[in-house]
Formats: sequence, structure tokens, C-alpha cells
Amino acid sequence: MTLTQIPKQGHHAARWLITTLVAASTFVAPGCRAMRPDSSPEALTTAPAGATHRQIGDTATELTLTKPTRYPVQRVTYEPPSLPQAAFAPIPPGADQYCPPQGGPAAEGPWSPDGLARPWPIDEYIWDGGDRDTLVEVGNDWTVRGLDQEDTVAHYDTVDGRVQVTPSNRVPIYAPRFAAVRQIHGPEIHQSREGLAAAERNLRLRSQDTRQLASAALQPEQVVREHNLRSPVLMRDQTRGLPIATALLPSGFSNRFLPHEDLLLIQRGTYLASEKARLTELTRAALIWSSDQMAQAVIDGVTAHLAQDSYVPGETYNYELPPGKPRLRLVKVASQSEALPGEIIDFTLRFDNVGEQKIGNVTIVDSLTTRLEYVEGSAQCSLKAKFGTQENDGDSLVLRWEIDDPLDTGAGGIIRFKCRVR
Amino acid sequence: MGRPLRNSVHKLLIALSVVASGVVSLTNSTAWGQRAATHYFHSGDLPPGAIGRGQLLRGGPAPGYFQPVEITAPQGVLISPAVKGQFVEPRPNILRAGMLLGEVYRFRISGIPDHEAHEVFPTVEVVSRLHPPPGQETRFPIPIQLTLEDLVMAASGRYIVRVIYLEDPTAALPLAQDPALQRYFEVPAGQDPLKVADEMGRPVAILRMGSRVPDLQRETTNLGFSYGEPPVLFYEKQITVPRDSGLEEAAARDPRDLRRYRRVPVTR
Repeated sequence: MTLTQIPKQGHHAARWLITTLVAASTFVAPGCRAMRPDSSPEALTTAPAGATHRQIGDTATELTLTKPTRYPVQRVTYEPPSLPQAAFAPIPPGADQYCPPQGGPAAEGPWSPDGLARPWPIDEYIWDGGDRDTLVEVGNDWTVRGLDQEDTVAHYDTVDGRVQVTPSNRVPIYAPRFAAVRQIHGPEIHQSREGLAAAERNLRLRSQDTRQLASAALQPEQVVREHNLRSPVLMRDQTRGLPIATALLPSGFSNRFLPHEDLLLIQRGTYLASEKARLTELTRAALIWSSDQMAQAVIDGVTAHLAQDSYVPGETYNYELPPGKPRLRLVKVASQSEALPGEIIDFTLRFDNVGEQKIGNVTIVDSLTTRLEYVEGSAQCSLKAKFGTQENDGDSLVLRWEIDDPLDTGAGGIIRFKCRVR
Repeated sequence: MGRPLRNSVHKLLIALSVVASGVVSLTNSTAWGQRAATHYFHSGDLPPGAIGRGQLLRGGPAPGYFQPVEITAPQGVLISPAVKGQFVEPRPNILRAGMLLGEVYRFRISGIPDHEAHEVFPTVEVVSRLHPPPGQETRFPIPIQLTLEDLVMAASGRYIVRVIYLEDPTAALPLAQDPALQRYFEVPAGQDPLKVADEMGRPVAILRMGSRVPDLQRETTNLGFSYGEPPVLFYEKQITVPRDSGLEEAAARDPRDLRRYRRVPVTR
């Protein structure tokens, strides 16, 4: 029943009812001011025009503020947070799960999942050095077998006629490279594309995604670091001082160290514990050094008694090299840890006879990975050596240095070469 | 009566043997055993934003991270991103910006050589982030290249999807790459470009353009067209300090770059 259909005797009553409703809404409406978005404490920090500063007990100013003030009607908008630089801050390592970056001082490195080796993710890095996959073996005729891409090894002959193989550490270089997959649709198949987009949205597969996450949580066994095998005596034996003249006697060798070679280990072959951090930065090979592949204890820097305190108090483990044991140390560093395609990286190999007998026919072999291209004519060696190259299965090169003279105990040298990132 | 019965029994035996041999050959065939064991959660024809948001569920420091992206286009092309309800001042040729994962960013491309009357409105979706060393984030952006061929095809009504992926370093092509010309592979219409990219590396971004002409009078104010205009960071300059060592040739650099990195006195 509309208002026009109201009988005459009820017409006055209905008009009074409408008048009462309008009057009530007029009184109630000012009470809704509390719902305005600009009535928040922050909005009051900007005083309206004509208002004075309010103080407790100041009756005059209170009276001024109690006057109804006209606020312009503003559109409520959302401003996204500006410049969240904290997003770039590295996440502290060891965190169980992701927590928002706090923007504090830089931690030890970017975030990586627990249990996975660093640097992570591996598909953003190219690697060089070490002995990947198949172990390198050298026959009596010095034929090298099992040399994969990235491998860098040295082999030498001992006094008793054996051929020994020593790998270097691995050097990661951050060098992501991108490509694209293109697909072109004609207008005639546009409709079918829209239909498939709605049909293939299958939510049941989310559980499959979760299972993949669980199966991908590779938890490599924590390395039981038997640091106690290395005694301080062994450390002294392997880090004997070297005369500089022995290390730098080359013909045609640039007798000036590069910036990334500012390490006593590279310049003289003497390991100092104080250089461990910088050496780790250059090699990023802390995990490799602690693995079983690397027989060298010189980078470890953990004394035996420290390990004993952790595991078996009161017992002492000593390990001594058998007399006359041959040993070659091969350390690899790179001039930079990240590179764009086209840039050139300097690599330096330091080799030392840290054993207790003379070794001969020392040969250093470096098989470059696919993404590294050897810069022609950049190879240098501080000792007299024959240098040659050979193509490998990754369409890159195998670099080979054959040191002419035997290495006496404590002797060593430096090899340098340059590579262009493809 | 005996001969027809014997013939029918023989026919039945022959038929059974044929069926049995077929089943045995099918179950023992290498094609059966080598079927793909991967269950793909996403496909390339999902709506923009669906893949990136799905990746956010995987955990890790992906939410809130602004992944640097570098969009390049041919000379003369103008790139204008959609920000706050409008396409802002266009950048010539190159645009460096930080984009959130799972969000979709709309751009307006104008000034296409020989097609100045046309405009293309591509979208970019970042589906995975990089983890460069701290401080090197903007030095290693995700490169997204708008080629002239793609732009012309998009202006003519084609729909183009480019899935940019990070190469698997162990299976990378042993060829030097020209940074100005990104290598790409063509995928026919029947295949899934996301799956192909996943087999060759890690998909990191998806570029979609073409096949749609918006009504600018109506749709520039429609947040659906610009996908809500998510937050974006613009990098007007390369932030990282350039390395003097390691570069191929110092003289080969653009002299304008040297002026860009000119030292200025520190003032309080």
C-alpha cells in the first residue's frame, strides 16, 4: 500500500509518522562522526584551520575545539608501503622458516633452505674446480680418465713410482643466464585457450605439490667432522715457510699479485688461520674442505683438543703422517664471485708439495665448464711448464700444465688463467 | 561338424595369442616405462597471476620480495607502466623495476617502429625469484625482451606468450650469448610453453601480450585491466657499483655510463 492509497482518516497519522522518522534521523546522524576515517588520533595531529593548541586545563581552547569543524570529504585510499628495502636484507642463516627481513646489518649471506648446501640455488651458479662425478684416475702412461666438466686436478709421480691424483677446491661463480620459450597463438584459437584456462585448474594437485616439497627436503647427513684426526703437529708440518724465491721464479710470469691473490697461502703457500675467512670468501669451499674428498687438513683450522672436548672428554687422538708420504695441495681462487655474460674472470691455482718427499711429473689439469671460455694466451705459470689445451665434451677446453722439474719438499708455484663467461 | 568346430577353436586360440602378445608388448615397451613421471601443477594457459601465486605457497622469502626485472624494447619504443590508475610517463627502450612475485603488471607499449598508430598492452608476471649475493640484486635482473617481431605480431592480433627461464648451467648451450639478443625457442600451439621451459631450466617470468584491444576510456579506471596495480619499484639508475676489473674492455663501455657513475662530493 503506497502513501497515495492511504485512506483519508489515516493520512494525518502517516504524515506524522514520516515527520517523526525524519526528525529522529536528523538527530542521530551527527553521532556517526565517530565512524569517519579522519577522526583517528593521527588525523587530529593536524589541527583544523582556526583551532589553537590544546592544553589540559585550558578552558578557552577546549571550547574552541568543541565547535563542530567541517572536514572535507576525502576518498579513502590505500598507499602501498614505499621502498621496502628490507626485502633485500639477507635472512639470518639457520632460521627454521622464513620470517620477514628486519633490515638490520647484513648477515652472513642470503637465505637458503635448511639442510641444503650453500651457495643456493645451484642453478644460478657455475662451478669450476674439484672432482665432480666420476673420480679422476691416471694411468701409468699419464692418461687421464674420468675428467668431467669443471674438474681441476693435479697428478704427480712419487719416488716409489706411484701416480697420485689431487683435486682442487670448487669455486662457485654467480652467473645466471636466461633464455625464453615463445608461443604464438592466432586469433582463431583464442577461444579455446580461454576455455582450457578454466578447465585445467585442478585444485586436487595441491597436495601433490606438498608431497614434492617433502620429498625434496634433501637432508644430507651432517658431516661428522673428525677434526680430532689432525693434530697441531701436523699443521706445523704442512705449513712450513717457503722462500719467496722458490715460488716466483718464472720466465714470462707476471711478477705481480692480483687483488684476489692477496693471501699468504697463494703468495707463499703458508696457511694462516687469520686468512681463513677471506679464503673462504674467495673459494666458498668450506664444505668441500670439510668433506672426506679433501685429504688436506690445512684449511680446517680446528684443533684436536676442541673436538675432544665435544665428544670424548679426556681422550687424545693424534694422527701423524707416515714418514715419507707424498702430498700435493691444490688451491683455486677466483677474482670475483659473480659475473655477467661476457665478463672475464681471473683464476689462480696455487700448488705446493706439502708432503715429505720429492714428487715429479706434476701435471695440473683443469676441465672448464660449458659456460666458461678460456681467453687465448692468458695462461701463466710461475714454474717452467708445458701448457696445452684440448677440447672437452662441453665444447670448452681442458687446460693442462706439465711442470718440467720435480717439486722439492715445500716447493710450489702459481698458475693463472682467464676465462670469459659465456 | 568336427572340422568347423576345430576351425573355430583354432581361430579363438589365434585371437587370444594375438591379444596376449599385444598386452605383453605394451607392458614391456620402453614407451610405456618412459612416460613422464612429473605431475605439473601449473600450465602455461592459466590466467595471469595464478602461477606466481601458486609459487608463493612453496615457502621461502618470496612474499614481499621485489625481484628486479629489466624490460628492453627496440629503439624508439616507449614503455609505460600502469601505476595508480593511469599509465605513467613512458621510459624509452628500457625499464628497470622491482616486481612482486604473484602479481601481474600491465604496460603500454607505444612508438613501435613503422606501426606508430598501434599500441600493445603486455603483462609481466614474475613466477620465481633469484638469490644473488647481497648488494648485487639489481645487477642481475630478469631480462625480458620485447622484440620488434613480437610487437608487430601482437599489434596485428596475435597472442604471444614468452616464458623466460633460467638456464640449467649443467645443460646450457656452449655458446656465447649476446645480452642484447635473448635466445628463445619456438613452441607450437599444441604444447605447453611453461612445461617446455621447465624442462630446460627454471621459469622465472611470463610475458603475455596481444590478442586484446582495451577500451581505454573505460578500462584504464578498471583495476581488473591493470590487475590491481600492484606495488612496483622503479630503478632509475643502476644501483650497484660497477666493477672495473673483470670487464671485457674498459674502452668499449658507453661513455655515458662513466658520467652516470661520476663521483660527487659528500655533503651534509
